[in-house]
Amino acid sequence: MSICYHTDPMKVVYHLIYFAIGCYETAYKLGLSLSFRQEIMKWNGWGYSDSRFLFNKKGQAEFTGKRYRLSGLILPSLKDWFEGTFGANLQHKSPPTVNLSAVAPPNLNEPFIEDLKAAGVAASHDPEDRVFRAHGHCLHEIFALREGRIGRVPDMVVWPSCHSDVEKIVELACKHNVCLIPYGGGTSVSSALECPHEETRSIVSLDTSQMNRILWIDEKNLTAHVEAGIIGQDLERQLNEHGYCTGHEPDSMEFSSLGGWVATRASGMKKNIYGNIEDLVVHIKMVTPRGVIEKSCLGPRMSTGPDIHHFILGSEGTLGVVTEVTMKIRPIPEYQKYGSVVFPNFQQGVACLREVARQRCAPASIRLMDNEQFQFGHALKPQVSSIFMSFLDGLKKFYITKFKGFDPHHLCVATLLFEGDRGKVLQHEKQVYDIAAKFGGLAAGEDNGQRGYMLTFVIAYLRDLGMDYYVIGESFETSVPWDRVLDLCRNVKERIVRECKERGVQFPPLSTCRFTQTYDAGACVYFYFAFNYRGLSDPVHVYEQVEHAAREEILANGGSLSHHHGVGKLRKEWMKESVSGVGLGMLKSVKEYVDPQNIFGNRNLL
Amino acid sequence: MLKKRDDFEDILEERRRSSDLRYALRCYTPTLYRGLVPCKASMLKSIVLQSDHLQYVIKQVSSESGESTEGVSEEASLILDEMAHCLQLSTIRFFAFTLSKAFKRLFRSVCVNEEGIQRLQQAVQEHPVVLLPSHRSYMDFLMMSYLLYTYDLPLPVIAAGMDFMSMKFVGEMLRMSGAFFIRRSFGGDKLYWAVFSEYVKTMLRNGYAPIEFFLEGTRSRTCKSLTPKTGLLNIVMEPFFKGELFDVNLVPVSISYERILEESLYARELLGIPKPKESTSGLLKARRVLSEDYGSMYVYFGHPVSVRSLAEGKINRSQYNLLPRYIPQKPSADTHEFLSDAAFRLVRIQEENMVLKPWVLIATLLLQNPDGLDLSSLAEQTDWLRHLALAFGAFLDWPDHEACSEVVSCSLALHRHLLSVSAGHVQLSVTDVPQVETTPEEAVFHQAVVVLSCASYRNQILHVFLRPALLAMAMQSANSNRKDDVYNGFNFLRKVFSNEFILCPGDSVQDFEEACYLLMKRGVLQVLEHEIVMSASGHSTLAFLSSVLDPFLQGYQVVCRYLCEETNENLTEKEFIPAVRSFALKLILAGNTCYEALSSDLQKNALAAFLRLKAVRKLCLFTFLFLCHTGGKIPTQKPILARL
Repeated sequence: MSICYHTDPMKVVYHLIYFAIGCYETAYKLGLSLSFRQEIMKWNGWGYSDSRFLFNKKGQAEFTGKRYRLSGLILPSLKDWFEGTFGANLQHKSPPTVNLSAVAPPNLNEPFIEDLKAAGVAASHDPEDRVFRAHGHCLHEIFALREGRIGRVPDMVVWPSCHSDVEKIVELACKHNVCLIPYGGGTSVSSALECPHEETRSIVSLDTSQMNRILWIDEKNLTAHVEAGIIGQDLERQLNEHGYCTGHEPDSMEFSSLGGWVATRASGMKKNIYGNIEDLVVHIKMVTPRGVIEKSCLGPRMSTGPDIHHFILGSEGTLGVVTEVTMKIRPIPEYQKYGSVVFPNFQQGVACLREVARQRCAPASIRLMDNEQFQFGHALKPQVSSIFMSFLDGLKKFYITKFKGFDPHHLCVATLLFEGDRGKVLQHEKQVYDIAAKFGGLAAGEDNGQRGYMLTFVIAYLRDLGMDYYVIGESFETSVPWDRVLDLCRNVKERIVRECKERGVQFPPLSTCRFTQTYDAGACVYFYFAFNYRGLSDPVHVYEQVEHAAREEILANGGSLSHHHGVGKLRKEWMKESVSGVGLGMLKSVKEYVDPQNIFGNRNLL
Repeated sequence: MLKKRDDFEDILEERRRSSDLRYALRCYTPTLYRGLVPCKASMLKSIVLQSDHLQYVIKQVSSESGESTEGVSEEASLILDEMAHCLQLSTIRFFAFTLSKAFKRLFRSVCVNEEGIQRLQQAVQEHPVVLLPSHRSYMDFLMMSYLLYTYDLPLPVIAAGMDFMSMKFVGEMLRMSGAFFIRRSFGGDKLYWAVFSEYVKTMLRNGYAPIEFFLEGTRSRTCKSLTPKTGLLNIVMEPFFKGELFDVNLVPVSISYERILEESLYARELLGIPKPKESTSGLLKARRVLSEDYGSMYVYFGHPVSVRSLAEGKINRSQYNLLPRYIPQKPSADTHEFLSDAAFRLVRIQEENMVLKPWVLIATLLLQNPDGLDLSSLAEQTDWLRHLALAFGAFLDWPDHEACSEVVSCSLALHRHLLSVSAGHVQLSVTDVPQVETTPEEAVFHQAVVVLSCASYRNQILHVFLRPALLAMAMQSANSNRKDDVYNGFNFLRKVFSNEFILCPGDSVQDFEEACYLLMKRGVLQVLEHEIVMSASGHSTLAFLSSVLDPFLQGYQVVCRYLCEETNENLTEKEFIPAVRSFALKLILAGNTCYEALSSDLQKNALAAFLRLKAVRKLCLFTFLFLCHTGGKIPTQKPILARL
């Protein structure tokens, strides 16, 4: 689709405006279309249309575009890593196909549309608009799109521009019995945006992207009142202009929305300083079929029965639409410093993270990659510009592997991000490096640390490259108590390898993990899993079976169903086991009271 | 039904050709577990003592008993000292040398399935391994270590009964060859259990060495498999349940002897001549055994059984999520059931892989014909039985291209001490009776030794005939041909005999179907929708099958009669065996029952069965155990009596 847009001279102009300004909100004010986002983003892959990995004519990997540090650079070792890890071959391509004729005609509820028009809410039933909002970024969703298979999609899209628009839409939806599916940034990885097959009513995607303003900033209380449709990077940029930040930086912050964070209980990488979304929100306003739910004051904490915010946080669009959020803000930190530490093996690295958590001295972010990911990170090193740099790299490698005796097939890396005033950061840094040294860790430089964080933004793009060459993969996460982390990581990785083998995957899969968050009582672990699917008749099915097995393994080893991705429809089957029958019943009874007609019918969670 | 069996290799062949000394000193480089955490035996001790689990239990015990934690720790350390092995390669080399000499004298051949060894080699690298050999002789674990040394596999550490320890020097030798010693009973001793289980788990988790233990708990004196114990099995499975290991491979090993070294020793023990205490001098006296021919020995390494796949869908591992893993947790009811089921399955695998020699068939026939058989008819019947056994899936090692009569006479020769052969007539009989006058009672005992020795060979093949035999017996006693009646009878017998034979609890329908299938395939039965009908030619097979179990039924009947007729008063458990024995002796002298009723093993099993079926009740725990009849006893026993 995006390809066709480039033929439209007006759209090209919009793009130019966008690049010049670099902000959705301003672009919108300048009169860009309602579906502006879908014009600069891929419809069947991750992120911006202009940014992608490809193998050029010389067979070298490069990353296109200008948005990221890696953009426009050649990555000389990616090809070897890619071929070596997956047994993939650049001769064997599996490019996407484009087929929009498969979109079924919309099932429209005419009276609803008429009332909507009368209320003055923008709407569309253009197939492109509908397809764009019919999916998140689960492997099966993207794979199907690339193959041109399009299932049930919303019948129309509406764009409320403020809280009262949402109230009108919800009221009309109840009146005409249409199904509403809230849509924020579209970065779900839990099948949460998938339209339920059994839904016979007209499905309306409620796109919050136009509700993207910061309504006020309160410097006395350090809070900001923001419309929930705002995208993470816009929120951060606009607050920065006032000298503030929220500090909430999930890996998807370029594309995900505030409302989405609230609805899924999101977690940001700097939660050690700023907290997760549940710690950041002070007040939430949500429109439900029963009316608006909100607290009466902005008190920092309340003892008024169970916190009603916790019915909203993680409700995954089943109860209503979050329209406005008051959240904490902080002055932009004076100083930021990246860092990294190399450990001789994963066990030592984990022990170090545990000690850091014990002493409660975790920096803004601390992450630990296992050896496979360390190697992968290496493969993404751009071409070095000078002989001196390459000499220096060689020297570092020599020092670590030969002089310090680290086995390159066992060593692992922690990346760090410190924030605060300069003096404290340096002091903090020393404390953390001292702990690391006790566990055999060697400081490995700021640059490696920074690259580690940059990779989290581009890694999602890499899946699209894999899919061009018969490689599919995905990530999933869990949280687990400290005493079980190592066992869980080992067992899950091994289970993945074994399941792949049993299901006829020809080449051993990439099965790797990293710690992305530490807590007092445990850690959040992220798994990456990818394999070469040549020779398999139904690769997505195999993929799903393996992922299912991996999740069972996680639960059997004391891990949680999800740390921050949410449940959606993908992990629904384990909800009862996870929260007990009574727990599930409680949630169901809330749903029944708030939304007896099942207007918010995405069928997530419950 | 006949599976393709692996080929065997005789390891003694090589030993007879080359130097034992060079063999004992050869370079030993075992295949290792890929997740091995290198660790010395001495380090092992401190890992165990400092483990969270043991520290927790020490604190618990100390707060319960009021003793200081140092005192309890000291105690734990002593327990560990008493228990721990100190595996040394040099001792293994010593054994490799001496055992080579001994084995060559004792056995014609020691046959090992090479494919099993290859499978084990693979399994050892992937996950920690637990070796589960059958237990028929002291020889078993010496042989296991010897074989693993021979095939360059990691040497196992072996859970052995404390009774060995009392053998001076030998106990220490065994310790140095990898044995660790556990007390026979330590039911209530928390600290002991903690030390013991942590010791085993640490070795398993670190991949220190394969763990070897006997599911049956002790040597089977009857050559029947014993009801498996689940305690140690639980210990080796727990690291998997708790996620500490990805998987554990269980390798059932079947060790069978053509002639058992302890043959007559066992028979005497069963007849009440107590087991001589293990002592070094006793072992030296046993040197006499070295001069005899014990035929061949077979070791079959079964397919590794993954605990993970066994537990799939049966164990919900998340039940361990809510308690820190160092806190000991009693297995849940589900886990218990799983452990017992797994243990039974493993023992059945052992049984199935047990190599049977032709003598086993001959012994079966001779026991059914106490007056003996003509050689020619023995050969003929043996051949018939051979085909039956093969059809039922017996793992029979029958020499190729040899006439049946030839095979029979070879077998008779090896076991001549149990037989008298005159004028072509073979009979089980006492061969070396002292010439002095004997009382009739003594004569009975002498004959009983022969019969029980012989029965121990028949018992080796019982697992092949068991299910069809139960069916045959059920059909005989059922009032009708109706399938439900027969099944009820079958199920009843199965319940009565479930202490005697390996019958997985809960498998009764499966067993019944298996029995029907086997007999139908053989043309003995026709199984219709509601009826089971014997075919015209089936009579002899059914008669044979039911008489296989006949001695057991008779034995149980004796116990029953004893309980009904002789004891009006309460009876202590201690008095039970001698009393039943003299009761049985009287019946034998009167010609009313068979010799096997004298077996204390059978008597104990019968009592346990009656207790389980609530025909008899235990009144009081502790030293004085009283037994009394309950009202339920008569109806339960009547059917048994009725069926005789």
